[in-house]
Amino acid sequence: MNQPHNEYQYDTYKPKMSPTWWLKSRRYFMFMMRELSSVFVAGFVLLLLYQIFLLTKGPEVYASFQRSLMTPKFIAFYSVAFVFSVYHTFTWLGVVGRIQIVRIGSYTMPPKIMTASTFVGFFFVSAVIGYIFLR
Amino acid sequence: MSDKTIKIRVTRFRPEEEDEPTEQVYDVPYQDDWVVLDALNYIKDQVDGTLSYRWSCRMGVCGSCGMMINGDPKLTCATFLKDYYPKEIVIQPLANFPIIRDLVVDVDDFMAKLKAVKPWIIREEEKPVEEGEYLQSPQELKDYKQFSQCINCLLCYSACPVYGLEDVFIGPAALALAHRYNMDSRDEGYAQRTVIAASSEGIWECTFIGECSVVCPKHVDPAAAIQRTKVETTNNWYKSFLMPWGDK
Amino acid sequence: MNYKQDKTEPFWWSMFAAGGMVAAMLIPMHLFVAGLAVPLGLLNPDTFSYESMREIISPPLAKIYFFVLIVMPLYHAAHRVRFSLYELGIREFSISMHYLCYGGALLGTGLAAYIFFHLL
Repeated sequence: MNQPHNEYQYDTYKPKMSPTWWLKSRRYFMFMMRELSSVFVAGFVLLLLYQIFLLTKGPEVYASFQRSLMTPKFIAFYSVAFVFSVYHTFTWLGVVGRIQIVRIGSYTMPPKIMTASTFVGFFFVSAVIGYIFLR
Repeated sequence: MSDKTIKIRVTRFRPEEEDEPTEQVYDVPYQDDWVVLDALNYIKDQVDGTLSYRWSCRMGVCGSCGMMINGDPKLTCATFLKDYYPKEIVIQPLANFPIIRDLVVDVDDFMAKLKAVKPWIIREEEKPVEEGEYLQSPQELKDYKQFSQCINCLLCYSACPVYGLEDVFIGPAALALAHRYNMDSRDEGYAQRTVIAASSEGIWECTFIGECSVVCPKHVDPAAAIQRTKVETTNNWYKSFLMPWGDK
Repeated sequence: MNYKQDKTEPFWWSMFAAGGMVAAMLIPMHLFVAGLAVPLGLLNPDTFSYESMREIISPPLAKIYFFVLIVMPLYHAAHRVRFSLYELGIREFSISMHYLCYGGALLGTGLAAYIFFHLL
């Protein structure tokens, strides 16, 4: 039992993993898309920061940039970024229930209820934001 | 017995003869209650006795017969031919492990990692036998039971791209078992296990791809175990600054 | 194998997790409002006019809200980009990538703090 485990010499073959492993299955690909969504979210918030920065540059500069945001290029970016941001939300909130176990005294909240509550929270918060801006 | 047959394409690797793996195709009789392991045993018994592969219990509890079946890591004793018939079944050794021979892979790396996480009850003082058994409530059992179901079949390591890319990663099963013992009310070894589990080769390598939990035949959910460990480790990290008088 | 507990990773992971929660809860609607509501005719473009926007972000609470909204997802993205580059096979400059990613997020934080709390 105490013999060194490499007492028997053997050759092994280790296949090399390709950097395109994530193209090999749909689930791996969707994982990469989930990671990519963070880049689009970051892109959007930086754009938002730039917009807010231009508020310090005066009305003309700001207004001209606002107009440029209505061009097809930006609308395409916003549309793609929106799809990715929603994908992030669904994949993120979808796993919270598996990770955070909520226990109040002797009652353990079933993970599905936890997940459902986070989604309800999301829709509620979105409704509040929508109300503030769209009314 | 009907005349139906199914083609099984198997990886062969004979290190004394070749530098790289090759493939061999066998025609195996098809029966709709056969699993892939039955097909392999048929090949070994009736066609080609030189084929090497691991198996044992043939009922999904020993964890020996893990292999890649059409690119997915599966237990050959739990995968039915009828889910693939009449198409060809491709059997390859478990991914991300070095191949010793044919379908047999080298799992020493996992064995070392499993040992490193100390998968046993650690106590400062053992309770003497006269004092009786350790009592556990049903809830205390429930806290860790799911993670105790691991049969060390290593399908999760095959499914994990992080382990495939960088095999210093301690890996899903070992980390799930560390969590199992941390969650056991009888255990007092959290601090010892955390040094290993919360090392940069442990939980922090994981990017929650989640494939490990998808392929696990015992529904252990190692991905959840790892994320919960991340949460707990992070909470303790903040506590150590904000409440330095605290324990653990 | 000599394992040592990683004492810095929990911080970056907590920033990633907080950023992920902010992004998950708030970003979709803000994105919709900021970029798609006007072209879709659901929003009066005047809501984003100079005067209107200055009014919206003048209260200190609004500045803090938008600061958090902008900064936290940067740490989330930095963490994901750092690991994704690794998973895409770019491992040679892994330490530099580490600094580049989080450095970028810190830079963004600094810029946002300067804009919100100094310029505005």
